[in-house]
Amino acid sequence: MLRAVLALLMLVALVRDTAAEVRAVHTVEPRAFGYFLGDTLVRTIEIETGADDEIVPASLPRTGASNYWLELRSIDQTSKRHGDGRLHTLNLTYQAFYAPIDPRKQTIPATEIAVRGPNGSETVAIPPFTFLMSPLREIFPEKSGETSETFLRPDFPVEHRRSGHLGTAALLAAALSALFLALLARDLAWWPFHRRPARPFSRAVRDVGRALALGGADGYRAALIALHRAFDTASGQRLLAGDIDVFLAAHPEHDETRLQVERFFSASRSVFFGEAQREGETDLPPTDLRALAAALARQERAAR
Amino acid sequence: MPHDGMNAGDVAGRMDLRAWRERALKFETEVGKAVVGQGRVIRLLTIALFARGHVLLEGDVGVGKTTLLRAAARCVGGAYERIEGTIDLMPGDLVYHTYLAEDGRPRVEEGPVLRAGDNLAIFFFNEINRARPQVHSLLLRIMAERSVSAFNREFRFPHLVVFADRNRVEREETFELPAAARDRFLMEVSIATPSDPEVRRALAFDARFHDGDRLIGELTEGILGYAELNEVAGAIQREIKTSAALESYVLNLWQAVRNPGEAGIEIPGVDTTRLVSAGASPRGLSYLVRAARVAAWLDGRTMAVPEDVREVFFETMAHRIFFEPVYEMRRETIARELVDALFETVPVP
Repeated sequence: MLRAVLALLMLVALVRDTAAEVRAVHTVEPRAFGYFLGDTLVRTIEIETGADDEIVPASLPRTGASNYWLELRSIDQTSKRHGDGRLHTLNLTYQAFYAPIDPRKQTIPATEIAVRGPNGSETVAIPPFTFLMSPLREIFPEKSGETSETFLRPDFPVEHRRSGHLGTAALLAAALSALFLALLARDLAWWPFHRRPARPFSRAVRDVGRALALGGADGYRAALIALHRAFDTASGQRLLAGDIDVFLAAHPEHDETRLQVERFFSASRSVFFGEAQREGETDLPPTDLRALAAALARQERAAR
Repeated sequence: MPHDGMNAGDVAGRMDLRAWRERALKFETEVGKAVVGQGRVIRLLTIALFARGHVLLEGDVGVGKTTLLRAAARCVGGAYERIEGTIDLMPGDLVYHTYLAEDGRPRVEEGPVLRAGDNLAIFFFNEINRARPQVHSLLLRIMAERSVSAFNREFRFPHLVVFADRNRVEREETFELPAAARDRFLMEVSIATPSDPEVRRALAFDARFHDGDRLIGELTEGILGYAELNEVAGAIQREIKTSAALESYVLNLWQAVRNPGEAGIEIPGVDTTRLVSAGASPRGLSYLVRAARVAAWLDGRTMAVPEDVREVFFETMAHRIFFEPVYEMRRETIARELVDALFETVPVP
């Protein structure tokens, strides 16, 4: 007895759970005639349900080609409160591609939409919609005197847009960009505004040669001074004979000419501060001086 | 007098100088036994002795200023007197010694400056900035003219060299030396604590350095022979050549130090066109050349070269350069940077 009562209760519960509460279905259909190839038509379906019910998205018809002549373009779904329930509105936009040769009935097939409630779901049947499609043109145009030229509408003339000012603006913008790039490069010392590594000895070779060409004691002194200035520039300060070791430690590329550099400084010392006023009295003849400058310049180029 | 030997001939003088150079180097070695790690200061002191100039030593407390001067005095030979600068020291205390004799009568005798008479070779003024300006001005005369008036007559000290020291830690109860007095010092040498760790270790742990009196007592006395120094100094100044190039170099340095802005010298944070207000006096310049000649001679050369000028420039010139007041407080760093920049900027030759 107890079992029978329990089974009955469960049955009642099941029955109660199966149904979502669909209260009403309205379809607002467009006109049923006067459609041509490519026309769209919008069907509106309103479904009144219980407050907690919703349309199962998976049950909606899929957008895209429905069959060979019909395409569902879009589905707009809205839902709002309606009294103590909800009103779901579906806007189905179809596009018909059927090309009839005479006015003909076409039917959008029926479909079903599921509504889901807290206790279960229910299906709503959407009825088919039948409408009349008409041909775009007459079947035999020659009967009405049309020719192939007049039968088709002329092509739409190509629009010639003037793009001249755009080109000018682009050129202007490019020029401005180049200008700013140049300014930026100068500010950040990029190429070609970066300082070329100074090559004092390369210049000294020319200066020494020019000074020695003058000849005599004055020329020799000027040549010595030119090479002194190169040493000054290379070391970043005035280089005295006592600083040779420091200089060569900082510029190891010149280390192999250490002996000649020391001879140069000692010759310079005797010329400027000692009593060897003439070139013949130093142990660094002009040819050696020129050779030293050339060697230093070569090492300088090799190092950088 | 130094000029007596001039007619004896240059050859003799030149031979003499070579031997004297040996003695000078020996003097440096000997002083170096007592004061370690101060090779450069000893070299400068030697230069000052042979340039016959007065020296002001400056440095922290306990770096060996007094030991160095006592060692130098012993190795120079001759009479050596010293006095401590105090705030109540008066000029009279330098020349007169007043006391009550055994018979109860007051007596006035010759003070520290006069006591040794002509033989006074080194007068050592300790803590000179603690003495009053009156004392400084008397010292000024002793230094400049090597003479002083006392007991109604003039005392002369032909062989005198004044060594003074001053510590730079305290400023209270001290009197800054007037510019005129500083200008009369050939050099102002600052002594720093040796930085060589080995030397530091020796100074701290070697028992030899703990007893200053014994340390100095061990040095050979009178290596240089104070009485001949004037003559040697004259010979050095005559013998060591300064070429036209060096002269123009020194003059360029002088010009640049008086107008560092015009010479293109730049010091970070300093407006060099408004840095130097006065200074680098002609006397300073002549001292510089004198010292450079001695440096060249000590290096074994017969000609002075720019390195010699650079060697002595800071010590002989820096204290004669007077900065605008706004820079005077940072004198030590700015002076060093100025001199460094000077030698980096002024072209040689």
